[in-house]
Amino acid sequence: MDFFTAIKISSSGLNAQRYRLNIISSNLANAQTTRTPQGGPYRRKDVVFEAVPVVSPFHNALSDAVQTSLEGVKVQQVINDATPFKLVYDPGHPDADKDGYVKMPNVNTVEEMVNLINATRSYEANIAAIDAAKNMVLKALEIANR
Amino acid sequence: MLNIFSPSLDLLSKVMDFRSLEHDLIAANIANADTPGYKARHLDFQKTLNQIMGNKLPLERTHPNHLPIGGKEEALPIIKVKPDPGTGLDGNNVQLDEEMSDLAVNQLLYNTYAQILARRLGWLKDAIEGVK
Repeated sequence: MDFFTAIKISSSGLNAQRYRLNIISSNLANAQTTRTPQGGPYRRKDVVFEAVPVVSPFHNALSDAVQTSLEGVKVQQVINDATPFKLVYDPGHPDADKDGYVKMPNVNTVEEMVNLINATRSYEANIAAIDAAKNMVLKALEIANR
Repeated sequence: MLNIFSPSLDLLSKVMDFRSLEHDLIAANIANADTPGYKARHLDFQKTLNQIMGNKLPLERTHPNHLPIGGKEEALPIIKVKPDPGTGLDGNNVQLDEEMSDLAVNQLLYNTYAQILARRLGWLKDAIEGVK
């Protein structure tokens, strides 16, 4: 029940969203990549978030109900999008098959841009929560100034 | 008549505690806005405050070793989980805009209580020093 827990929770949110931004950047950067170390074109990646309980230094003083309710977030895993690759007719491409089709990554640029905005907004929301916590702490400190 | 140990000072600091807990919960909701299956949680102020207000009148104690009944008993925060299934397909029911406005309201209320508490303590100081 203290503001440091709140800041800890919000910073876990910042971490997770930044990780997601990295993955989105990687998807966008590789939207045209047809060769990867695993072979074949680049496969779109996505993150899965998981709620994890935060351990507060004062957790003994808190009731169990409160303790289990306060959860931060972490990236549980990065998954590969199983959507099939796009086939583009481009006989001049070095990776074209005998019929002239090239397998392009299953990255949809528009979808990635929407996710990018989403992640940015979530990041900002966490920043706002940290700002609020800071303001409240400062306001509480003002009580002692009287 | 202003009582130094007036229950309102105690109540104010307790309400500030609960507001700070509510902030923790809102921060957790915001952090988990994209977590599949996560349900938004808030402090149930009505029920929590009823706990304190319900036993407002303490039983008179004639000996310091008597156990206190009613009065300044510790009130346990009661947390409610938002029941609706949410609009998304992933079972998450956090509405980010709703949480952001809750965050602002909660912050304003906390600041208000801090201000009132500070003012009250200022009055006490005035009474002790004598108003110049």
